[in-house]
Amino acid sequence: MELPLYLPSSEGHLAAILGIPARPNGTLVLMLTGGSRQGRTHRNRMWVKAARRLGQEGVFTLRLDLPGVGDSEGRARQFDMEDPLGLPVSQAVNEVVRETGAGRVLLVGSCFGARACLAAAPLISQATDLLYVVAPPLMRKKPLLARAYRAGYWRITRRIAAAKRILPAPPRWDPEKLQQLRRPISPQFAKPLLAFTRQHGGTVLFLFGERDAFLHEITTTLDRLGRKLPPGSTALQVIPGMELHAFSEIRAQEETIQFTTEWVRARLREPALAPSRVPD
Amino acid sequence: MLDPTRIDERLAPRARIETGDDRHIEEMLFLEERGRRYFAVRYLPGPGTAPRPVGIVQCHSFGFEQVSFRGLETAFARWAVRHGYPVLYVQGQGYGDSDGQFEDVRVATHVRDVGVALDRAPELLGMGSQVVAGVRLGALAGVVAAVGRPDVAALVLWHPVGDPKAYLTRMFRARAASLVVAGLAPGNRPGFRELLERDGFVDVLGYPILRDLFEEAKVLPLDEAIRATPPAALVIEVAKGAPDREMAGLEAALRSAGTDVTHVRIPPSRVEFAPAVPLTVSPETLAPMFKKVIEVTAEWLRARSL
Repeated sequence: MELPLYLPSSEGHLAAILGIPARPNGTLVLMLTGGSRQGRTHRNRMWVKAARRLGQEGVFTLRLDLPGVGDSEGRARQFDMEDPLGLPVSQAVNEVVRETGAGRVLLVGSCFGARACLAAAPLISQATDLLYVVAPPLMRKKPLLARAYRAGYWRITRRIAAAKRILPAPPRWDPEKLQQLRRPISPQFAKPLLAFTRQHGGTVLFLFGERDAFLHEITTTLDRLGRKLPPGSTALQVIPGMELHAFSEIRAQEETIQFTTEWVRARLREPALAPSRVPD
Repeated sequence: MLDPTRIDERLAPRARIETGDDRHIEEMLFLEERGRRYFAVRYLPGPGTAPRPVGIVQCHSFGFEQVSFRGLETAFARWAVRHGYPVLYVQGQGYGDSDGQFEDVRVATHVRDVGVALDRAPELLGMGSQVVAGVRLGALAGVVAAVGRPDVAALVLWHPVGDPKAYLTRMFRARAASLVVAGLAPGNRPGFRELLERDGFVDVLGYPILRDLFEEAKVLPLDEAIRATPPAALVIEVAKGAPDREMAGLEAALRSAGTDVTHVRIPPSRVEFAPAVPLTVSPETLAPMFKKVIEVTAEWLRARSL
């Protein structure tokens, strides 16, 4: 059974389709899409197919239009990764949790939708696991210091100092620190990730294709976050030979549907909540 | 955990909202028609809004265009309902949240599904007469579905597809161009005709275009199908450069059938409607163009007292 819903949020009513299984097991799976004009069904109905398959696993599914997209209210605009709409998404999900009595929430998002899921996860007390599909973790906007670097200030300084022999040549920068200066980790990525894994006890699986442009970014970002993340709370899965970004190949869609279904099945086999979070 | 049937009862009213200063209604629903389930949205004017004499039935385009023009359709529906027009948008089989498979989509199924929307419009909109408003292939499907229907007062056609075969061929060529951009020279890959023959389909930006669909498009006798058409039609072409010959052919067919056709050309703002509006284009880029399309449509409807 599928039910259309308008869910209240700080950005107006968000349109959604709630999949209701015949025998619910108390788990809700949120599915979010990326792109500022891509609706809740995803390209070639990828999330519709995934949701209808997951209905057979006994889970509720929620395909949600982001603000300004599809049938949702709100202003249509180009989404900004630094404003991932975690609050309105969490409000919509929490409303569904209240109405269904779901005790566990799994979040699945691609591209901007992945960042939105990550931002929303710490705000959903029943959220336990997140599947983050191909979204960049680094800031797209460069802060002032990074822009100054890119203006060549550093190179000019070294050249002048070396030529005039009035100052010792500055030490060489660590390439990794250099990369960090150029493109810091987005706080809208790091903060909710740390909150969700450290305070909330959640897990995040990052799914990328081998040919995705952001694969190097996510690999180095997870290395950089390193010890800040609880052991076993994150993992990276790479699909060989595949580019998932934009899902503009049928093969990429099929792989993602299959992976999502198997991931949900695997999560359902694990305990629903950590003992410290089981309500009285 | 609530019984699933009780959840359905409790949440059913949430499919409808009263919204805006005019308190119009927006409602999402599933329609059952001959064993097929269609997702639909209807927009009903608010209590203080002066009613117009017709409803509006929207017809979406094909494939990824069904997604890329959704913003225009929603903006138009919300403009229309604020000005007294009830509006019905129905997703065809194989699209969106409706049932069916995209692999079974044909031009004929687009026409059939517009027919379903027109059949249900009087009950859902409370109006006996409708304006069919379609974009791209949806516009063509709307024209064919409206043939012989006295309940269709007029046609609003946004950059209509005049020739489905030419439309699909251009889509294949755009796919080939995108492969070149991705660093895959067309010489390294089979052409679309070879792929259709070998695999039975071509993957165009994540949508399967089947050989059967292409074969159907090749033989469609649209000129013969366009008879007994509504009295008036607005054609909006969003383009610069040479006129679209296939669109001109469709207009000629409508005129031959007795329809009074108004053609308006709107200059595109950075992106043309054809061959396709990429999903990567921002809503802000499209907004002025969509606004202009809606303004021209509004003016035409008013001029015809619709």
